[in-house]
Amino acid sequence: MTPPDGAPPLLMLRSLSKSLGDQAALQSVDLSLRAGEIHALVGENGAGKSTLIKVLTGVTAPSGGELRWNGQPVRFAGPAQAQALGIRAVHQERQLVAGFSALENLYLGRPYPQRAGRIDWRAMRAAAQRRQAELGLDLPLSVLVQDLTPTQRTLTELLRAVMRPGRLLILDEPTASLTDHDAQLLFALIRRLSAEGCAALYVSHRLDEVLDLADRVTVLRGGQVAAAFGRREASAEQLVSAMSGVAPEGGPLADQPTPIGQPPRPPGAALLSAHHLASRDGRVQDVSFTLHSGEILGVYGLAGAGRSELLETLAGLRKSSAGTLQWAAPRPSAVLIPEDRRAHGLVGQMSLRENVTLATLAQHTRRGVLSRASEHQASQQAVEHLHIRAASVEQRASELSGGNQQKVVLARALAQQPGLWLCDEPTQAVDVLTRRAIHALLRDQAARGAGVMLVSSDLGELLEVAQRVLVLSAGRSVALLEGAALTQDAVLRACYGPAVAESGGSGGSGAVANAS
Amino acid sequence: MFTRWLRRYGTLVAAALIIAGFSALSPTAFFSVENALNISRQIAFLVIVATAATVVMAAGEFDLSVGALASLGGVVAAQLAVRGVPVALCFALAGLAGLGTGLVSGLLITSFRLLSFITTLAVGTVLGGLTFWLTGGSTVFENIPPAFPALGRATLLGIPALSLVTLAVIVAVWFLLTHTPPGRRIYAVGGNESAARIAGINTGRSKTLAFALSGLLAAFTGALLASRLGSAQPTGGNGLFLPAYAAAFLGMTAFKDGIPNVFGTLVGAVIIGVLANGLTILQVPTYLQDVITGLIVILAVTVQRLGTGARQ
Repeated sequence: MTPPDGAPPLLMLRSLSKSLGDQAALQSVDLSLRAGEIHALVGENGAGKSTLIKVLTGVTAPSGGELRWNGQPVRFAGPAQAQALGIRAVHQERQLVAGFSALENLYLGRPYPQRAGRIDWRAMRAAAQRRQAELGLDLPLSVLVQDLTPTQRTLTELLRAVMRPGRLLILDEPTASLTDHDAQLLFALIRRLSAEGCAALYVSHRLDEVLDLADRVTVLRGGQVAAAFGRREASAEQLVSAMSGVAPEGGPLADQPTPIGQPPRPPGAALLSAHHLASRDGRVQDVSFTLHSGEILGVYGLAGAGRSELLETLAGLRKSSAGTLQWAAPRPSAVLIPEDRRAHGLVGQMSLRENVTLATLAQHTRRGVLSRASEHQASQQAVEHLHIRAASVEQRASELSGGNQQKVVLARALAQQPGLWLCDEPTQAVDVLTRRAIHALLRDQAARGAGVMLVSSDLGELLEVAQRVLVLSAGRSVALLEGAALTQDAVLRACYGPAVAESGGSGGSGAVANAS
Repeated sequence: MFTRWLRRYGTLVAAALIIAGFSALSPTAFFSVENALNISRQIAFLVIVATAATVVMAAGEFDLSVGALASLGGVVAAQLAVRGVPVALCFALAGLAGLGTGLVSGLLITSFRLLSFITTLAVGTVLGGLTFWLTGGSTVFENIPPAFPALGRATLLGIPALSLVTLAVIVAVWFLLTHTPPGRRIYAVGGNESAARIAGINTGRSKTLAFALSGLLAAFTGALLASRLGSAQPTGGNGLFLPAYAAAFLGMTAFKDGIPNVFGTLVGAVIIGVLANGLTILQVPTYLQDVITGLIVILAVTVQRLGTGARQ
C-alpha cells in the first residue's frame, strides 16, 4: 500500500488548530496518512482526540491551519462533504436506531434503492450481503439492533460506515465494550479494509492493541502532537511517557501484570457467597462464588456472558429468581460503578458537588435543610483526593472529560463507605494515569477490608489487579481461577469452553484464532 | 463568557425590555404602581399552576392535569363553602383533593411505568368529568358565604393578598427543590433516572412526591381563583394549563440553562402576564395577543438552543 514516490499523502494536516471558547483544543497539529495506512491516535482524555475527529469528519471547522486531501487543500462545510470524499467514522457512542433492523440501519441517511417508487428491500439486502461477504462478516441483517450483542452492534456500525468503499475510516474507541476475542474480529476487518486501500485512523486507550495493529502511532498531549512513532518503533512504556509528559521512572508500567503465580493475600472473612444464582430475565443463569473481605475478585467473560447483569443482580437492581446469596453479618453496603458512566453514573446537568453528595445527602442535612458548606467541603476534598480536574466543584458534570467523570462517580461511591464495590469496566476509555489512580483506589479499599468485584474486558487488567478471576460464560460461572492456575491462557480456555481446550498446545492468541 | 451570561439572563433581559417597551408606549396606564400590583394579582394563578408544572418537569415528567386539577380545586372549595365549612378548611380540603389525585397519578406512573404524558392527560379527563358531575355543569355561586371571597379580594398595606400568597408559595417550593434532600432527589431523578437509581435513590418515591406536590398546588390555585371570583366554574382552571407550560418552558431558558426552575418560571409567567396586560391596555385584539405570546415562547426557546449549540 505504499504510494508511488512523490505522490501526496491521502490526508495531511498542517499546523491545524481549533479553539473551543477560551481553550485551545488543538494547537498546530501536523499529521499525515497514506492510503491504506492504519494510523493510531493515542492520548489522555482531553488531549484533543475527539476534537481532531470532529474536524476530520467536518462536524466542526478548524480555527487555523490547513487540511489537504490528496494534496489539495479542502475545507469542509459540513459532514456531508467529508463523507463525499470517502471519510467514514464510527463514533464512540453508538449511532444506530435500536428499533430498526441491522439492514435498515445500514441504509440510514443514504438513498434507498427503489423500484417502482417503493423501497427495494431485496436490492438492499443483496448489496449488504455482498459487502458482508467481501469483508468476511456474517451479521444477522433482519434482527433489530436492540437484540444484537454489543459486538454485533459495533460491527454493524462499522459495516454501515464502509457500505460504500471509503478512503479513510475513523474509529473512536471501537473496542471499548468488546472482549479481546471480539476485538480480534474487528482487527481482522480493519486489516482487510486496509488491504482494500482504505486508511484507518484508530483511537484507542488499549496500548497493546495499538502497538499490534498500527503502522504508525501519533501521541497527542494537550492538543499538540507529543510524539510520533513508526511501526514497532515504540513500546507501551514510551507511549505512556509521551502521553503523560513524564519520563518513565524505571518503575513498572501500569500495564505490566504482577508476576503470575504470586500467592494471593490470605483472604479475610467471607463477605458474600452466591450459590447457583440466577436472574429472573435469564441473563444470569447459574453463578456461584465467594467473595472475601480484602479481596479484588476479577470477573471475566465474553460479550453477553452476563458480567454486568451479575453485578446488577448483586446490587439488587435486577431481580433474582433462583439460588441463594449469603451475606456476612452485618450485611455490607454495596455500590455499583456502572459501565456507562454518562448514561447510568452521572447526572450530567448537576454540578460536580451535587453528583458527589447525591448518595449521602443525609450527611449534609441539618434539620431537613441541605448544608451547602458541608457539601462544598466534601466535594472539594474529593477533588483533591482523586485529583479531579474541574474549573470548580460547581462545574456541570457533563462538561468534565470522561476520566474525570469516572472519578466523580468513584468519589460518590467513596463517600458511601461501601463494604462491597461492584465495578463494571471502571477503567474503560480512561487514560492511563486515571486508570492507575482507579486501580490504586480499589486496592486501597480492599486493603481496608472491602470486597471488590471488578468486571473488565481487558484481561491484562484483571491479571494485574485481581487476586482471583471468576469466568462467566453464557450466564454461568465456568471457572474460578487463582494463584498458579490464573493465566491468560487458562481464562480464555475457560471462556471458550471444551472446544478450545481440546485444540490444546496453542497459546492464548492461538486459542482466540481457533475460536473465531 | 458573554454567551453564557446571555443564556442565563437573556430571558430576564427580554422581560425587562418588554416592560420598558410597554412603559414607553403607555407611560401613564401601564407604567404605574397600581398596574404593577394589578399584574401581580392577575398572574397569581398562572404562577402557582406553572410552579406545579415546574416541579413535575424537574422530576423529568409532565403533569397535563394541572388545569383540570385547578378546576376541581375551585369547585370543591366553593361547594364546601356553600355547605358552611370554615373557609380555611375549604382551602385545605381542596388542596388535599389535589394532593390525593397527584399521589394516584404518581403511583400509577411509577408502579406500572406508564408515560406521564398519557396518564395525566387521562387523569385530567377523568377530573373534568368528575367536576362536571359535582356541579351539574353549572357555576357554583349561590349561597357562598361572604368570608369565602374575602381572601381573594383582601389587601395588605395595599398589596393584594393573592400576590403575597403566591410569593410565599414560590419561595417555599424553591426552598424545597433546592435546599432539601427531597428536592435534590427530584432534580437527580429528572436529570438522569438511571444514575439516580444506581446512587440509591428511590426514584418512584421522588416522582410521586413531585406529582403530589403538583396536585396540591394546582388544586389550591383553583380554590384561590374561586375565592377571587366569588364563584367556581366547572372549567374555571382549564385555561391555565397551556400558559402554565409556556411559562415553565420560558423559565427553563432563565437562570439555569435548560433546567426547570421556580424563579425562571416566575419570570416566564411575568412575561406572559405583562404581555397580556400591556397589549390589552394598548387595545390589541385578544387573538393577536395569543399570536404574540406564542411567538415569544418560540423565540425564547430558539435563542436558548442556539446558545447551547454554540458551546458544542
